Amino acid sequence: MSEKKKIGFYWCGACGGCQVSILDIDEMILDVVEQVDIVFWPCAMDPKYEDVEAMEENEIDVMFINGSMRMEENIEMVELLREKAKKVVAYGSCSVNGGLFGLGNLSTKDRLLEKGYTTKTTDEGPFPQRSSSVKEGELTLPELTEHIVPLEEIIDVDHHLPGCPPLPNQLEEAFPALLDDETEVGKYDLVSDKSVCDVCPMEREEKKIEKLNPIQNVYLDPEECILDQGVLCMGPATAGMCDAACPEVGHPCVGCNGPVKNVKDQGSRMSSALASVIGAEGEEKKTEEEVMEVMKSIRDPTGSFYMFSLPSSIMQFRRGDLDE
Amino acid sequence: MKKMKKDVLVIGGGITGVQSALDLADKGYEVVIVDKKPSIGGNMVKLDKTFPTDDCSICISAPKMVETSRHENIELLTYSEVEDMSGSVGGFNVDVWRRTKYVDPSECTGCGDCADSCPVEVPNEFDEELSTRKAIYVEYPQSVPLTYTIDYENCVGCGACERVCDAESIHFLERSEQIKLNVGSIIIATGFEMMEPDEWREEYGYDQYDDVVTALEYERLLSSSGPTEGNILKPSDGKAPEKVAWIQCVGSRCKQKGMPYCSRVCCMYATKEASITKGDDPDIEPYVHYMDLRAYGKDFQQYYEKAQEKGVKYRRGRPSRVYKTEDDKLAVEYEDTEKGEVKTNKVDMVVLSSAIVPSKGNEKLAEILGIEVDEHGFFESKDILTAPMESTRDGIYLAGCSQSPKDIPDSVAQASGAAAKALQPLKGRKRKGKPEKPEERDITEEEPRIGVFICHCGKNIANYLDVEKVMESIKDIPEVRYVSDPTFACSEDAQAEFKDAVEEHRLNRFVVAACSPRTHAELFKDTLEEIGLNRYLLEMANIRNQCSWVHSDDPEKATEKAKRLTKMAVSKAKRLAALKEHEIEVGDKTVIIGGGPAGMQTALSMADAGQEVTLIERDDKLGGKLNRLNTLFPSDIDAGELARNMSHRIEDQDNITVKTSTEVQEVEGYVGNYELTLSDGEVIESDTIVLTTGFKEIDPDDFYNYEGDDRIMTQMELDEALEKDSLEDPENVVFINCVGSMEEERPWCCRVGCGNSLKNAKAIKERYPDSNVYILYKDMRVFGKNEEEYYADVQEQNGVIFLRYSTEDKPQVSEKGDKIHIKVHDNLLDDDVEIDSDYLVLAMQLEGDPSASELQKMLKLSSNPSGFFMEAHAKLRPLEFPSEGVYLAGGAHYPKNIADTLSQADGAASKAEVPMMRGYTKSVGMIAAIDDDRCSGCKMCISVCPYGAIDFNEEDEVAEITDVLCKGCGSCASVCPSNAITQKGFDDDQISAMIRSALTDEVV
Amino acid sequence: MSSEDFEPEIIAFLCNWCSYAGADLAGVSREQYPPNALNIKVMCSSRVSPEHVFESFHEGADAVLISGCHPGDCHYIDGNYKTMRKAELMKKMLDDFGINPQRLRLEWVSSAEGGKFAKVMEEFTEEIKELGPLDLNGTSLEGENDE
Repeated sequence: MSEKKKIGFYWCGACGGCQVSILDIDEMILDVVEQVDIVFWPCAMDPKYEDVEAMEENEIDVMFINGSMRMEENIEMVELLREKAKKVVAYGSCSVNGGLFGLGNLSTKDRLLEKGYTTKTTDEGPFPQRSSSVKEGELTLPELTEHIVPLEEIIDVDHHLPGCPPLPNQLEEAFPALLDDETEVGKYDLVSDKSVCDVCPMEREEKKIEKLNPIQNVYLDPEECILDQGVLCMGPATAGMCDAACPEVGHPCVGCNGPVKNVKDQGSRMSSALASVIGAEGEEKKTEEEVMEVMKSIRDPTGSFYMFSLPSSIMQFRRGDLDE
Repeated sequence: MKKMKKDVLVIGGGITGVQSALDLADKGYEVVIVDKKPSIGGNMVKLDKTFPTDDCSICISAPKMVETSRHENIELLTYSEVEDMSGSVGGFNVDVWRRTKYVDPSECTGCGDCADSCPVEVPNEFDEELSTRKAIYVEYPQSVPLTYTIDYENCVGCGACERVCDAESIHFLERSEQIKLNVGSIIIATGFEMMEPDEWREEYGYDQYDDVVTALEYERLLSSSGPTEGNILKPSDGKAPEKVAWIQCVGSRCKQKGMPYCSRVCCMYATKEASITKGDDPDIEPYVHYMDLRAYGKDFQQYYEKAQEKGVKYRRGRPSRVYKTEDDKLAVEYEDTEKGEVKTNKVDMVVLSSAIVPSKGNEKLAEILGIEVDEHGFFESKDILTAPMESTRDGIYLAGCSQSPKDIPDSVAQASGAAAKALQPLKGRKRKGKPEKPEERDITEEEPRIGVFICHCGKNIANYLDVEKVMESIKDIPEVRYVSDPTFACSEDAQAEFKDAVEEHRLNRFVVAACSPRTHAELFKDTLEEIGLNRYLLEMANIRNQCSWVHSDDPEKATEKAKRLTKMAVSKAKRLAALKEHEIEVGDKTVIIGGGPAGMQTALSMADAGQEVTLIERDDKLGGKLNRLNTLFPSDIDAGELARNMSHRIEDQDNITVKTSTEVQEVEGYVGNYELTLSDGEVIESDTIVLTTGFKEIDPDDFYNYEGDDRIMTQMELDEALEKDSLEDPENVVFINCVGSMEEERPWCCRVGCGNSLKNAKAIKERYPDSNVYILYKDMRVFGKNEEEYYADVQEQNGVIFLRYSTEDKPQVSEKGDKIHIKVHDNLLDDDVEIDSDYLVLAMQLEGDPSASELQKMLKLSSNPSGFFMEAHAKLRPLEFPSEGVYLAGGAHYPKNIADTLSQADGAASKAEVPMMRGYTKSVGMIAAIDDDRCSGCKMCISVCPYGAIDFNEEDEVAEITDVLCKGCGSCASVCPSNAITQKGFDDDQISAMIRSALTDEVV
Repeated sequence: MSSEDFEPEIIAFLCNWCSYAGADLAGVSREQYPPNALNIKVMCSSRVSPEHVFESFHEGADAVLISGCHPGDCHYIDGNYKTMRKAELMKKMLDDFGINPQRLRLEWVSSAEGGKFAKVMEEFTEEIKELGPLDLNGTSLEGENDE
């Protein structure tokens, strides 16, 4: 038997779902454990920064990094881990596309903190300080990054495995390939060429959408395409590695897998598709006001279309000079 | 003297002539167009917009004209006139006199330097003399051919133009010449003129006051390329008017003071002009003084209603005079017939809707060709109802306004119809097949090797920007292997240089930085093809029209911009690939659905041209509504006889299969490949489909006590009663027009109801001379040839009584003893009239046949709320649908009389025959393509395609494009959420490269 | 940069049948307008995707113009209606990105409206001059790796 592979898991700005997903593979975890030694896993062990620093270059065979690049510390860690790892896998949508936290990019770091700590909606409390002096000396906190960017903009990434979180079936397929030294960089990216629609079992018609409705206002037919029924479903613009898990149980796709392979900008693709078909019936008779009315039914387009992929999109973050 | 042997001569190059020529040329016949003007285009190109869609007129006609001038089977003889003719059908010898333009069309680049240098200014006829032009000129910027013409009468011979012409295209010694044509048939499309208002109606002050203009003059004022750039300004002082009044029927509908006929288009163009005026400048108050508002066509009534909503005010009554008031206004004096009092309307500007009159040369031309004109000077038809497009001589056909006034869709329908007729004498003639192309070099494995031509365009580019610097900026780009700066990139020399450069440097892509690709790309593409390169390996940078000409005041910036535009073009050129124009075979089988007059005529026309026709009819015999009608308006010919006559002719045709008592249940496929499942289970194959499903009366049950009373009948039922002679000698008969029409629920006008009431009223009067016949109407909408005259006769000779009611105050119908009591408020008398009638006839609103909605779904077409099919384009493509292979005619399009129906039927036949006789149809190169491996079957693209070119493959669960149906708009490429669709020639990589190149000032 | 010597960079997407022809006619009529816009021809305005617009801004455009046939006039029947709706959505999204939606302009220019094309160019250039340059990099993250 060949030597066991050394693997590590690291989480950046994350909800923890990705960590749980690793355990979600049920008994397969026994097979995995048989093949690997987990040498670094802050969530389960208690390693120190120094321990990582002490590692040899390329000591870790496969390093799984999840979560978003939300703090300076994340950047410092992933840069260090890159040195120590032969292969880095961006694990989960946050590290691949920026993830849900990426929507914070529509604001600035300062405003996020301001909103989080000073507005009336939250309890009064101390505003986080970068450093504070205590008896024992100076304590420092890592600073928030200006914007969230995909992991690959910080370090070289060998493989991408989006999903919020990646699902057991994805992992089942992924682990053997990722553990194989022969797998070329980028070769094993678990981003589908096709969208959620490809795997979605719902009955679809030619798209003729009058306007969008909030999901709570529609009695959804469980057999029929959700978007056809006038409820926003991101399925058409979202990579489909999920067996359409959400639409199948009657929940519209929220776009967690990010764009289909080789599509740069999930949000603009979806907006273009939707705007083209929505309210198209009888468009030649519609007044400009009526058209605007239809468009208003698409609430918060940026938030809806870029829910998981703003940092990997063309614009990436709120970057113009317009006041909020 | 020059000799030319062609198949068809088309006289007149307006929209009608152009359409006839294109129809024939597309089938492989060689056509020559003779037009007396320097450019084709006729009257349509002068119009600002067209009713009822407000389409920009030049925008929709210019592409047709360019297509005509580039067509390999069409020869244009502009500035030419027919002088003499001999021979007969199948072999006419026609002498044409071509006047010299003194400018060589093959050398003239259309740059306009000559006109700038010309010292002579003369009134510009194109702008109705509201502006001036030079003695060397093009009629309008989009002229076809775009060759300057020296107007001999006004040229002073100074030679200034010759000296400035870098292309050396001006030759004062070039002489006019005679051309001897030999053709098989002739189509006359000489169009119309507008009556000089002073000829008959000097009381409207056209000659006296500057601010009294004709509608065509007003059209030029509205046009953004006209003398006022689209600003409505009074000719007298250049100020905006506050009130503008249109006077209708100036010279029309009046035997004593002009023409007895209705000019057919004025009500609608006045409505259009007034409503555009209001839209452009809400401060202007537009008034239309009219007699009957004839908004008879498809969507016309709705357009008229909308104009009223916009604020156009309508005043009924023919004005008696226009005079200047003391406060310098123009007073329109008229009798308000709705109130019965004389009123004046003080306005700032008066627009005269002057009568449509025949072209002045018609009589002379008729004499040359040996055919008849009517008493007004329009060409005489063999029969105005059953053979409107045939002249009084075999082999000579009529189309458009040369025959009688008509609007654009009716004209182009006739144009196609005349084209169908014109090929009858050409049977057995060899048609031109697909042009041979030189073999193409496969460049897929080659690295880009680009040749760049930066054109000087004489001084047009070189004078305003530094060509040298532009060359400098791209010459070191590795992919650029050849750079040159010809004086004229479009010259013959330059084309030779293309060839040498390819041979020497093995170039495989070209960038031409010059004028506009819209005018010149095809020329360079042809050159590429001749060299053996795919025609799509060309990218143009527009450094003249969109750079040197518009930034001539700042050469430095113009140079910078030209550099960038060229770099952008090179960036795109690096990514160009050879594109294929996909072809599909189209055979000779057609299915016509609906066996009424439209279907029968289409079948006869197509069978005559050699197609295999299957004619499908739901009833047990052919004839449709002709079987129920008694006579036909306005000739009073027997409808049944016409049906029988046509049926017999169909029986005699070997290549028509008639399937009566049959309906279509399913249609699959597309052009060249249709499969129809019929109600008897039979499956038939077809290459094209023509829909002639007709119209029907709406259900009369809810109107005027109809239900259960046999004395109250619809127009159609009256026709049947007259046919059977089952009326009992009546004392009084009342007709109510517009039943269920022009109201909120069904806002359209049925187009034929007024005429039907007239002919049936006349029939009753003739059969029962002692009876009193009343017609209760809203507006008397009779507009076709001889119809107004018929109306006048029914009033004067037959003594039918006309009472005008309004929508708000409809007639009341009740029982009174054994009579039907009708009470109506007559608008004109402003009094109630009560009639006890024996019969009440309802001219019911008409709607599309119910079968239309099924067919619409099967064939992916659309229809409007009235149940009539929506054609591809209201003005220029009335007989086609957006996707090729399906056509329509007759009542399926909209109700119409027999003359218009038969014209459309022949026209639809001609349209369907285009791909069938050519044997194939092909796509453009820049079509969209779907990558199966990326398509997820979300079906977003399917409904977005306006041509129904995208279908869903249920088996593979992917969308599929039928290449030949794709027109290359690219909207699907922008829609696809997973990037599975690319538009060839405009793919994301190419567009992105241009963006990046533009903003980085580099070739990327 | 002071607004006086600021020359905006504008990307103009023009449809082949109306607006590109209108721009040609502006040339034929020798209209004069500022040279700030660089035209990119597409067959139909509906070909323009938000990606093209966002990329233009991302690559340094100060403004983007999309111009097509007037409603009802589309050479491809209804492409411009799609453009109308797309533009509306793009404006909303630009606003969220902190880019003034005025920097994206949708205009209907027919092939007969050379004068209008020149006027649009003039007005738009002026308007963008007043707005000033679009500074995308002022707040950009270090290490951002643009191509």
